[in-house]
Amino acid sequence: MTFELFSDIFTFRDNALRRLDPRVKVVVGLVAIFAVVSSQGVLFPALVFSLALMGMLLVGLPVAFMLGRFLAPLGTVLILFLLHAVLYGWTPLFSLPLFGQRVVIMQEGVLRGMHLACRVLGGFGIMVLLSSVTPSHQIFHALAYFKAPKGWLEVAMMMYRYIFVILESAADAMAAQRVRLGYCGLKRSLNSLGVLSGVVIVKSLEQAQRTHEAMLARGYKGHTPFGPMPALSPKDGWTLGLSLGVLIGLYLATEGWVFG
Amino acid sequence: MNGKNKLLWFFLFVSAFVFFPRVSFAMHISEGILPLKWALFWFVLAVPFLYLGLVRLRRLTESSSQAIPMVGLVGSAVFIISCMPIPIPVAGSCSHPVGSGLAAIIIGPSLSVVVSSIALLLQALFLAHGGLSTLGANIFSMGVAGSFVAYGVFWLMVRVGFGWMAAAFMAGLLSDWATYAVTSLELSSALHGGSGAFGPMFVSILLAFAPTQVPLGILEGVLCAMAYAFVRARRFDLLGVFEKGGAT
Amino acid sequence: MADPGFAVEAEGLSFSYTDGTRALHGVDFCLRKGEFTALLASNGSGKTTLIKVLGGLAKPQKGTVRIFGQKLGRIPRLKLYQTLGIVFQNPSDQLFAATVGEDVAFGPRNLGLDPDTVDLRVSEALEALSALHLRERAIHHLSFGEQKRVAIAGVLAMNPSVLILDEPTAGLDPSGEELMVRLLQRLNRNGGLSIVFATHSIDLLPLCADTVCVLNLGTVLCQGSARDVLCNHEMLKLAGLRLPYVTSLLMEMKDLDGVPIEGLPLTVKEARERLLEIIPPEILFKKA
Ligand SMILES: Nc1ncnc2c1ncn2[C@@H]1O[C@H](COP(=O)(O)OP(=O)(O)OP(=O)(O)O)[C@@H](O)[C@H]1O
Ligand SMILES: [Mg+2]
Repeated sequence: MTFELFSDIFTFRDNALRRLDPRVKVVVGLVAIFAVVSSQGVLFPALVFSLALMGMLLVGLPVAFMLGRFLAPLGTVLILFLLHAVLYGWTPLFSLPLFGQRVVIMQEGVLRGMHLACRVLGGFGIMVLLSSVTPSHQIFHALAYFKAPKGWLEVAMMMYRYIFVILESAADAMAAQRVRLGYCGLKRSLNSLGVLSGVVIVKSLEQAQRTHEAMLARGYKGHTPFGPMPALSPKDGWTLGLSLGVLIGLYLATEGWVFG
Repeated sequence: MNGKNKLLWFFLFVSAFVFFPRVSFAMHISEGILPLKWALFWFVLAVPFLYLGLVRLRRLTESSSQAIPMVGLVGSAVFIISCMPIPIPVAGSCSHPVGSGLAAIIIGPSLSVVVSSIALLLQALFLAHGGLSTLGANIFSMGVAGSFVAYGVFWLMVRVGFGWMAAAFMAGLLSDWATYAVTSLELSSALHGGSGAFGPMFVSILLAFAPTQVPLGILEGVLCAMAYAFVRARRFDLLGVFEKGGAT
Repeated sequence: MADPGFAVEAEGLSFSYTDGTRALHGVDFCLRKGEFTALLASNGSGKTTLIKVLGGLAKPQKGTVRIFGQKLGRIPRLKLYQTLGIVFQNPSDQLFAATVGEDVAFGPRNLGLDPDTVDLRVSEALEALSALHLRERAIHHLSFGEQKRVAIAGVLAMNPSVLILDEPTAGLDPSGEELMVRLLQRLNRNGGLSIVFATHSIDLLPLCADTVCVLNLGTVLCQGSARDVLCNHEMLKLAGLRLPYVTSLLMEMKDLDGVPIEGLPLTVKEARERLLEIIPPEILFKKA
């Protein structure tokens, strides 16, 4: 495996969440993520994480895929937890022997570490769920509806499309270098990578020229027109209201606004 | 924080980044790490630069309809370059170049911010690297700091009379290190608190990342110089589109 | 000069790339309304260049191009590309949206049509290329052959009256090639489109082309009806091409063995008819 290929295969699978209007998913996703990072307690992010996990299981994401996606945040979570447990706080919980020293675990640190860990997991869960049930063009379409800058969106869509084209030729070029022993030893690897980067940029520039010609031949005038967004169906509306309601309710309840 | 604790920090961080090399992926701050206050702060700081880039994009589009395909395609190329695994001799793992330095000297720093912001969004969504609430912070460290430092260094060195190669090398190197420094700053300003003061926190994060980032920066410089030289030698004519509309 | 019977008419075209490569010199080319013309040439002879010049994407240093009698430079771009559809050699050059439906809608939306008309045009164009089932798919999940068909649909959605295709069959398997030729033929016969078809696969041409224009090293070697051109052994050899396989088989039988065949058949069907004429019926197992 040479490149971190990104898999968007799942986003094209049909399921209940996939059929939902992308605007609803983007709004609910962002609200959930920002609620998670603004939370002060452990409970809310943990609940959001379990909801996201349930969503992922519901739409049938393979467990291996989920684990792959969560490997990096899990690592981060572990480190943050350990760091805080050891370094933060003033109430000793217990102590462990480590390299001839006694490491004191602090209560406040454990709490803070757990909170940070839950925030990472909750936010990540939502992000992975959102991106596994929404194809990127729908996300861009929703962003266009929310008045994201047009130039930015056009560049984004162009980038997304051509990442696959350029990636294919870059992977071929890299394989061609590899079979001719271009990656034996650091110096040669670096040299091959440098040439490869140059090739990739030159290819992209040439591709841009050809693409531009093809766009002109189809009436391009400097900006890409977007199709209209259909009106929200009643079901989408209900889902939006309900999920926002649940999120806000959970937030108020767990963050101590109601029962605190 | 006493001396013993400092040592512990250092030990933990180093071991962490050796055991979880994926964490150090181009130094993106992962979703959920920054509390709301800091997440918004970095968004606010990044937006003016993004705006600058969009203004330049609009100006280029007005003078040539080629601007958007050009910027988009260079963006795809830089995205792919930033996914290439670079072997790090000291840390014994692979890491990835930042790429925004190279983008900055090819298409200019403000457009490089635009391209980086898109690349970061796509990476967050489809590779699960970085995050959505931390997008602002990541745009600031990789896009803004990386691009403007690279472009500034490049411009200055060429002005002073250094060769293209040396200038591109330093641009790549310093853009990587600038990204690394700013990311450490972002992490430490958000995570310090209680008994941990900002200063020692910043230093320990810097030190923890150093084993991968210092050699990575040098390698990125080499990569940047080679790629730039390649583009200059082959198809420098194609970069003409970006010369209109000034340096920003 | 401006004959109204011509859809595309080019005279004395010369084109050099900025690095000095002379890709075309003194090329005359014409396409009658409703005609299916093949642009036959070996690699590097200037097919792609000629197509770019005809489509106004490259400015020739010499010569003029007329589209339906009107000089190319005088036609506004928006009108030009509603008349002239260009399909490029490599489908990834022209498929720039994320999904098939979005990509095919790109052209009609540029024309400022309302959403319902855009929708209709997209489904019609995809239908014509037997690609309607691909509508919601992502471009990067398509096979090469599917990409080629979608690329043509994208151009077709502009409702052009002339379609210029750069090697639409290159890289396709035998059945894909045949499917492509049949689809184009249907567009030509039923839709009344004039078609220019650049290719170097000579065995396909007798099935579809009315006329053939042979290009060699940037000049036109020969232009005429498919039958005349494809039987011209010497000229094709000069252009780095060959006769269709059936034709060369029968020609060898005629020249070397003295088999008395009338004319030179270009397709398998024709060859079979000619052969049945001279094979004595008593040696056949099955009677027609
Ligand atoms: N961008 C360019 N710059 C310089 N020379 C070029 C360029 N594109 C093509 N040429 C040259 O122009 C000549 C004609 O090329 P063209 O692409 O038109 O051939 P073609 O018939 O389409 O070939 P193929 O069958 O391989 O597609 C060739 O000699 C080629 O090397
Ligand atoms: Mg060609």
